[in-house]
Formats: sequence, C-alpha cells, structure tokens
Amino acid sequence: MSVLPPSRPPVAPDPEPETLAGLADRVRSAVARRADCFEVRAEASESIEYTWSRGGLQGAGTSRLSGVAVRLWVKGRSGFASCHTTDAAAIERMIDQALSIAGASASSEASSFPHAPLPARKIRYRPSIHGNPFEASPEEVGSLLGRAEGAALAVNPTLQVRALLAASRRHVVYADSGGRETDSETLLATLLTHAIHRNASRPGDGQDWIAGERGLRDFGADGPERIGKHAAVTAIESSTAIAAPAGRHRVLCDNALSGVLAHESFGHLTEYDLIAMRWSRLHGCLGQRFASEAVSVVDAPIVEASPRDGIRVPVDEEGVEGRPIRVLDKGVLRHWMHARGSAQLEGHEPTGNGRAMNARWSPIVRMRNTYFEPGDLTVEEALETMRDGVYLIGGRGGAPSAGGEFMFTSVRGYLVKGGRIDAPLRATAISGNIFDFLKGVRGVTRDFQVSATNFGGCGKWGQSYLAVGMGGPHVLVEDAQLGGVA
Amino acid sequence: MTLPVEALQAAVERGVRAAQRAGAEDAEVYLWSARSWETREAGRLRTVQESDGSGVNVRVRVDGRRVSVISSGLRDEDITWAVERAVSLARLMPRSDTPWHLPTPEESSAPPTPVDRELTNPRVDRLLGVVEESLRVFDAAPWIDYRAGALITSEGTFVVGNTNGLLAWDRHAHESFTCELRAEGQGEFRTMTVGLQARRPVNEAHDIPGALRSAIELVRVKAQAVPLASPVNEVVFDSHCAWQLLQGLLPSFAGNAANAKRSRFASQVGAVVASEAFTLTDDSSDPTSIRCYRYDDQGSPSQGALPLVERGILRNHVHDLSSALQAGAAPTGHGLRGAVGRYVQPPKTTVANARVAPGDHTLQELVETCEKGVLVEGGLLGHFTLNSVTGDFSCTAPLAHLVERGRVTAPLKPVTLGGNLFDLLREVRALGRDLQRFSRGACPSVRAGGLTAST
Repeated sequence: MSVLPPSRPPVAPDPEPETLAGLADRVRSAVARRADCFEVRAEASESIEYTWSRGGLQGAGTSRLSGVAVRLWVKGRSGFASCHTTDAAAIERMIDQALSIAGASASSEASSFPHAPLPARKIRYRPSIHGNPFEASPEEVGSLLGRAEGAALAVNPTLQVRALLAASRRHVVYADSGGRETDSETLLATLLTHAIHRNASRPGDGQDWIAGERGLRDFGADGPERIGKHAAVTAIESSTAIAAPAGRHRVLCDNALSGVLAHESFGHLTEYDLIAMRWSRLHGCLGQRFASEAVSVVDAPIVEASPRDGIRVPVDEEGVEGRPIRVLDKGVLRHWMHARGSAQLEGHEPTGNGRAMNARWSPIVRMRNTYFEPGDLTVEEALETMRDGVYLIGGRGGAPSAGGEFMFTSVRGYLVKGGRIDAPLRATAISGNIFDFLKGVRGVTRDFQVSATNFGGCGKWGQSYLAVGMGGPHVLVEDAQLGGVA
Repeated sequence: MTLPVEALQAAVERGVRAAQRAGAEDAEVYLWSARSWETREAGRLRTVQESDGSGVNVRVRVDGRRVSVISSGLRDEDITWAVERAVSLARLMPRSDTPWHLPTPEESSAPPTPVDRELTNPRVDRLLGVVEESLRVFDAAPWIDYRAGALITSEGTFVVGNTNGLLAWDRHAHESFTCELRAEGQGEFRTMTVGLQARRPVNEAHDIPGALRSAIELVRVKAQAVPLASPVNEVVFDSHCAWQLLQGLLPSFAGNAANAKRSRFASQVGAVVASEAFTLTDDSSDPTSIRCYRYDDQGSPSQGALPLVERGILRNHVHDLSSALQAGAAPTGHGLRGAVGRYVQPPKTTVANARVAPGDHTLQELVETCEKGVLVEGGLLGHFTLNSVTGDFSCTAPLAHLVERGRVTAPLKPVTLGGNLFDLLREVRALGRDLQRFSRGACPSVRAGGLTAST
C-alpha cells in the first residue's frame, strides 16, 4: 500500500507491480518486428552495507537498482539504449533511441560485433547460502562485526578499527529474438576489518576480509576473529616497515598479487574486443609460446577448487553459459575471452565473458575469476628456492598496458634472506613486461586462494567497478623490477 | 531531456511527508534524474549507448537512529519503498551519537547553475561526428599504432528537500572527450591519454585536433630510450602528472576524516604541511569548472573559494552538514555524491574543485633550474594506488626524460617513482604558470624533491 497521498499524479505512472520476466516480455513485444534481431535484459539489484566501530553499529545503508536495456541490430548495425523508468512511454523512447543509434551508425565504417544466433534454451541459476544478509537483523550483523573488532582490539586497544559487512545481489532476466532466455540471481558478500595504528612514529594500516557467495553463517566459525586479528597485526607491523629496495630482485608474489598480475597484465590482453581493436599486442598470437610448461592462466565462471570464493557467473549478460577457458595453457596462448558476437566473428565457441555492470550498460568482454593454475611447491620451498629476495603481499591495483608493460603496487611485503622471512616492507611497485615476467617464472606453489569483494573490482570503458575474482598460487619470479618508496 | 524540476519537487515533497507520517523526526529526500550518451570508437570497433539514471535517496532519523536508503526509479512505488525501508531499518539501528543538521530554505536561495541546451538532448549524429572528426587527426600520423576516442555527454537535475521545508534544486550538463594514443618504438610503448571537459559542447570549448596533435608530438618515437643510470634528486612534473599525484591529497581534507582522526591533516589547521610555494584552494563556485554548483547534494550552499593550504599552512577542512556540526565549524557545502548530482551514492564529505595556485615559471624554466632530475609528462600509471593513510605511493611515468644541468638530455625508459605524498608536499620547490584544468580541479607543473626514481 502506498503511503503517498493519491491526490497528486505520480512522476512516472506505472502502478502495476511487475516481475522482471514480465517486464522483459513487455519490452520483447514492443521491439519485435522493429529490428532484424534483438536482446532484452531486465534486471534488479540490491546492496546493503553495515559499518561498525567503537563497539557499535555506526551506520547502515541500502540501495537498489532496476532497469531494462535493449540492444538491437538493423542491417548489421547495432544500437543500445537503457532506462530505469519502465512505463510504456519510457520503453518506446528507449527503443526509438536504440533504433536511431543503429541508423546513425550506418554512415560510419566503424561497427560493432554482429548478433550471433544461439540455440533457443532456458537457463536458470540461484545462489546457495546460509544466513541471507538481506534478511538478517542488525543484531545478527553486529554480532559478526563486533567479534572482528574485538579480535583487533585484543591485539592492541589503541588501534582505530572499523569492521564492515557489505552484500550485493543481482537478478537478471535475459531474452533474445531467437528464443534464448536466462534467469539468474547472484550474490556476493564481504566481511572486512580495517585497522589503523597511529601510536607510532609513522602511521600504519592493515586490513583483511572474507568474501564470496556467502551468507552470514558462511564466513567460518572463527572467520571474524581471524580477519580482525590479522588486520591489527599487519597495521602494527606496517608502522615499522621499511622501504623496499629499489632495483631488480628475485621476487615471490603472494596469492593476491599473482591474481592481479594474471588479471591485469595478461587477462586484459586476451579480451577479444581489445584484440579486435588492435589494442592488445597479442593480436595474431594464438598458438605462440609465452612461458614455460609450468605456467597456465585460467578464466573461469566459478572457482571449482573453492566454489564459495571468487564470483559466480553461471551465465553472462548475453545469454551465454559460462565455461572455463585456459587462456594460457602450459605456456602456450590457446584462447581468447569472447563476447557472443566476437566469438561468431572469429568462428570460436562463445565463452560467457560478455558482461555488463548493470542494466545501464551494454555487455563488453570482461573477466570472471582469473588466476594462475597452482603448481607443486609449498610456500616454504618457494622461499628456500628464492634464498635472497623480496616477498610481496597483496595488490593495491595498478596499470597494465597494451604492450604487456605493467606497474602494480603491493600492499606490504618482507625482505627474504637465506630463505627466511626478514624485515617487513612497505608497499612497493613491481613493474616490468608480462612476457618477460612469464619467462622468468621459476616456480608456482600449490596453495591456492581466489577472492572477489564488494569493494573495488575491474574498471573498463566506464563500467567501474565490476566484481571479478582474482588470486591463485604464489608465483616465484627470477628477476623483477621494484620501484621502492622514499 | 530529464524530468522537469516541478515534477521532481512535487515528488520530493510527497516523499518527505510520507517519511514524517511513517515516524521519522528528520528526513531528507534527494531525487535525481540524469541521462548520458556515450560514443566510443577504437580501430573499427564502435559502441554507442544512451542511458538514463534516476532515483531517490532517503535519509531519515527515527528516535535518534539514522539510515540511508537508495532506490533507482522515480515512480511513487520507488519512493515509497525507499521511505518505508529507511524508517523500518532505522528502528532496528542503535542510536547514533553523530549529529545531523538539515539546512533551512533560508540557507539555500541562489539561482540555478546555467546549462548548455545543446547538451540536454544531443543529436546522435553530432556525437558520432565529433569522435570521427577528432580521430581523423591520426591520419597524418600513421606511426601511431593505436588510438581510441570516447565522447560522453551527460545532463541531470536534482532536487533535495527535508523536514525543515527546504526544496533546493540544481542541474548540470557537461561533455567530456578522452583519447588514448600509443606508439611503439625501439621496443618501448609510449602511451598517453588526453582528457578534455566542458560545460558546453567539448569540441566548441576546446581545440580537440590541436590537443591531439600536441599529444602525438609528445609520444613521437624519439631516439633510443635509456635506463636511468644514477639517482636523481628532483622530478619535474608537467601539470597532468602533478595533478594525478596531488589528487591523492584530497581525501585528507575531508572534515569527517579529520573528525575521526583518520586524516593525516586531523588537528593540523594552522600547522605547516607543505612548502611555502604550495597553495591550494577549493572553489565550487567557479563557473568555468564542471564541478560548479550552487548547492551541494544536501542542499547546503556553495561557499565559494575556500583556502585549504596557504603558502604551506593548512587553513581549512571541507565540511558537509554533519561533519561541520561535529567539528563545531560552519558547513562549507561539500556533501557530494561523486560527480555532481549523478551518482547513486549517499553524500560524502568531498573536495569539489581544488585549484593549485600557479607559480611564475614556464615548464621550460622549471627544467632549467633542475640540476639533475627527471621530467615526466603526459600522465602517470598507477598513481591511484596511493595509500591515503600513510601517503606512500609508487607509480610509473611512461614518458620521462633525463634532465642534467638544466637541460633535457635523453628520453628514458618508463621510470618508476616512489615516495610519500605528505613528504613530497614539503619538498615542492617551484610551480609553473601553466595552470591546466581537470575534472576535479586545476594544477600547474611542479618541481619537487624527496622521491626515488628508477627504471
């Protein structure tokens, strides 16, 4: 029942509650016969975030986003438009705009990917979690967050500690003119603790988190305590950390940093839209060797080894079921990541990498969970093999380039002397060329972690930030350039 | 065209009354209606898309308990959902000791920000034409092996109202053009990005072909780039690179971060935080900036030019309504939701339009006064990885040159710069007079010490 007075007209009248499937049907009927082929996507998403500090909840916020998008093709030219209001007039205007974009594009030599027919099929996915964060009371959430804060303050009561719980869920209904229909719901939740240590000559901070397709009871029996304590210990340690030595060193990258390397410096180079644009230097390089047989890079819609970690993309925003691909298979470049149309253009099977951040955006080629495949070493064996060098932990992000040059910043690290961990190090940049880096891989560990969080993600062409999974094993590299800090 | 302001105002009034009826003692309802057009072209691949964005943010206080709820859409059911959800969630929350102040109508009475009509409903063929015409410049530079252009036009209106009777509104419209270009030579990729923004059609406000020709010249393949062989004691940043790095300072001026002691500048007003050469002002009333507004997203009026750092001394933090009340300071009109009036985010205490005061020198003169250093131009990679708590940063300059005894002597392989931004502030030695405007501020070129540089 509406709490608004009925005497004034609504801003955008659409009084009938409508399911996403109904909305998609309505748009499909409106666009039929006006284009050669089309795709309709209706979606609704919701997110919630709780902040805890000083022994109590400090804030809560929630948001939801819904909308509908249409992509259509007329004489091979495509147009895309979307709207958040879903009354009949808004939908007509959206379709008109998509038609007008397709028409205007006809005068140009530049083009978009073609529409690729796929067999009619219905695909459905629902997440499986324990303790839905969207149905939890603030007391239940506060209990988790309070445990994380308490564990951090037990390490040092002078720390400034914040604990956060963030969750997002997304429901997408897709239909195309060929009879393909998908209906998928995905969920991502993150429990995070951040600590700042100011009672030192130099401030330091640390954070840790657990994330993935998880409900409140899926963070582990001692998960909150573990991340709280770890954030506190790293905050204190980072206030005493020294600058990493600049120059070339033997380097061991931890799970998170190796994931950043796999995603940023190699993954993007194999996204087919960037191949088609000639942005990536890997254009024309399928079948070429870039690393030893010890190195494989995978992009997968689910992390099979630990299905709750990372993200799940059972079906992409072009109606394509996701399948894992070994982009780099035992050192040889074997596959591109494809959107539905780009796969058709190349004569390849679609991979399920056509993703859009929300209904506002057209799908483009995006990664899902990208990682190096694990090897045989233990971390101790990797350190022993390295003997003297630098152990880099965590990835704060960075910048790749089309030629394979990269610059990423670690979160922290350690000097390694004689195969043993020595002094803690501040954040430092690691830079180089991914192809030289891959050739220099001396070992890969068998431990394996992939993570995706509600904070940050991948940005591409304005669609920032899309949740992606990154991680993998530790990777030992013979020779890498470190930037150091002053 | 987005929805007329009168319709938005009526919906805000209804939302506030609904929140009151549901039990809120204070309520703020913020509605926005925005639209954007995006044309992107690289190689022979093009995407064109048009999208709307509209929604409501309801923030309520119920028995001292506060919550913020956001929904897309402007139907009555969207507003109702947000109001009901906010009030019901607030009842479950603990009482907050953070103060909240809602502005009154008397605090918000400035005229609306002018917008360019061409940007409120642009023609698709014009947008396509701007991109095509701009990229044609590259026909004369076939050695540029990759270029991509993107034109984004956006416009929007917001209305904010509250239980004090406030009903403030403002609108925005701007256009931005970005172009990424790349050349490979001598085994090194040289890339840079050109970014231009304006409150009117960007091709009328800027000489896009001229800017692209300058960029092409900058990435022109030169003689063999060499590694940096020995330490340097200074870096000369062009205005683009200087701004990228100095942007990392802006969160430290936020009043809420200072109140919570999360900012390095907490309790530092009146203290020396930078060299005497450095002055920084925030000005949300600058009509030439795309970050110009008459009200922030809480309906608090812009205070005009606000000195943040004067000749090295910290003068002010920026405040939204809550942080000002908590600090016992006056609000400065800095409760913003990302880009003005567009993003589906609750307001945060945010610097709006920061301008680094220019100096007296040309970039060439900054180089001439550098004994041994590095000149970096055209943009940095990875500058955003800066740790805003500690100030530590590490980033790469793909377009760098060795400077010896005041002269550029050799192009360098990409140089990695490392340092601490708060230390670097104290090592700013001279500024150029070449003030360049960026989306969130303006900055000249800078000569500074206190960094490490390596290749």
